[in-house]
Amino acid sequence: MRWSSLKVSLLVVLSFSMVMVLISFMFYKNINILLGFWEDEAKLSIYLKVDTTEEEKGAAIARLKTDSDIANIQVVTRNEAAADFKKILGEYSNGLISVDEITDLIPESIVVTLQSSLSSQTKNEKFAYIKRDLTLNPVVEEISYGTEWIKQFSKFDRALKFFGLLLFSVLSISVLFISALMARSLVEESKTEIEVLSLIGATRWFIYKNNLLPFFYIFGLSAAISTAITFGTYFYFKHRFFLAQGFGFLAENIRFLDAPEVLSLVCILFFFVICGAVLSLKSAIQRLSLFAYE
Amino acid sequence: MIHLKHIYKTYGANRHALRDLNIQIEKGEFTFLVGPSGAGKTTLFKLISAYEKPTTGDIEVAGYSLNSLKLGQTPFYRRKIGFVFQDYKLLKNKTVFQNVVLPLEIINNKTIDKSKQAMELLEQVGLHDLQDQYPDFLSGGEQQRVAIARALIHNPELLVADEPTGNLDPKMSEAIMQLFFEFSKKGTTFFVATHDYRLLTLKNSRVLELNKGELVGDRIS
Ligand SMILES: Nc1ncnc2c1ncn2[C@@H]1O[C@H](COP(=O)(O)OP(=O)(O)OP(=O)(O)O)[C@@H](O)[C@H]1O
Ligand SMILES: [Mg+2]
Repeated sequence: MRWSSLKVSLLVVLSFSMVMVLISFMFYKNINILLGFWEDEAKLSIYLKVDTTEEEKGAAIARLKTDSDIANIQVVTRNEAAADFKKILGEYSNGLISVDEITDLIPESIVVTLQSSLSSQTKNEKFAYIKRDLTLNPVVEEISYGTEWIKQFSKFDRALKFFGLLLFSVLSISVLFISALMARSLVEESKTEIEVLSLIGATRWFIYKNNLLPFFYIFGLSAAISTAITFGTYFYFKHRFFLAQGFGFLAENIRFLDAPEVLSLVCILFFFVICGAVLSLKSAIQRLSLFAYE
Repeated sequence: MIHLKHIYKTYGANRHALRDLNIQIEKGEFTFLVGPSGAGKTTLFKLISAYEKPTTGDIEVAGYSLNSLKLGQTPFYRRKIGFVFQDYKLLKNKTVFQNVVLPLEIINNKTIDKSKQAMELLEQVGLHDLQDQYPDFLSGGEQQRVAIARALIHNPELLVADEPTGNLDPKMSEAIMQLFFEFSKKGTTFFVATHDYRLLTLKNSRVLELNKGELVGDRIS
């Protein structure tokens, strides 16, 4: 295959477009992963009164266990809570305050986590329900689950997911459009070649094969280039950028696209590019009316 | 080999390029087609190559009746003929060698040694050292010889050449005509349009004369 300027620009446009599609999909995928983590973090803490007996505590837990939306119930003793607290304060707390002293300040609690399959909206409603149900229980001192935070988060969550999906769809559509257009102009460029081939006895199959082959090469090459660039971007963010910016959590949890995802995105694009090429080839051949003697 | 009956070709409403042409050319004949510019020579060749359709009349070439030529038959009909076009119609993105070997690639006969045959013909038209060059970098005469080699490579039954020596010097024109005569001896039918009246004296052959789309002469030179 001989490289013309049009073929080079098709390669560049295709690679660039595929990079955008792959990256926007990777963005969308990672938003979903990360939002999943944050939702899992949503917990409801039931702080118990200091004089609560083991039976009273057991009855409260038994009541919670009947709810199938609840994934996990964990009792945090005063000592554990104090140790956690001290850990958060880190070395600042050394010599400042002892675990015993903190223990006196922190009550025992029951921590409830909901099934992760629930939407943040439902989780919010569920927490509100549990709170109403348990407030009357005499052993409960206080219930907290960061209502406002979750509410805002559920809006943010939907907005981000929607934005990711929108970005991905808009990019995909424009990329398909541009690629089909480029395929068309490449066929236009070979119009004289098609005419000559047909005049010296080439069958339609031969002409299709000859004109589609460059598309296969160019497409394969740009698929490879764009996957490499996308991986490079992922690698940079995971191992350099997020670490340098102090986003260890992001660095640890973002994921690259897996093979089926890359393959299906590339296949969809491939389908459209080849369809564009075949259709314009077909119309070029018909326009030249080289095969029908009429 | 070529049978034209009452051929008319009219472009638009009243541009009569060909009028009531009746021509019979037998297998193995060597026929020149002469006539002033605009006489209709290229138009006639366009009809023979199934590139255009006559306005009225019947054409039969190499056993194919072109009026009833089916979509899928056209390529196979064209393979029986070698065409030298007035504007050469070389592929710019292929080398001289690739252009010449193209008809064999298309026919794809595994028993033929394609590159040997292409090299032989390039030698005969004097282009063997330009085989890797692209047509854009060739002179008009060189391009014309590439077109001639491409038209002959698949040993066609009929060779239709539109001004094949238009860009060649007298010596080279004569060499090309000698090449044509060699193929003619092996049985190829030739139909050659030319402005170059000197060529007609090289061999006793039939000369058809066109003027304003009408056949005005049919003689032996
Ligand atoms: N596509 C077309 N539309 C309109 N008129 C045409 C078309 N093709 C050819 N003609 C006209 O038909 C006439 C014959 O043209 P043609 O090309 O056959 O001449 P020619 O004998 O090959 O001339 P030359 O020796 O200059 O090549 C000319 O008057 C030309 O203008
Ligand atoms: Mg002409």
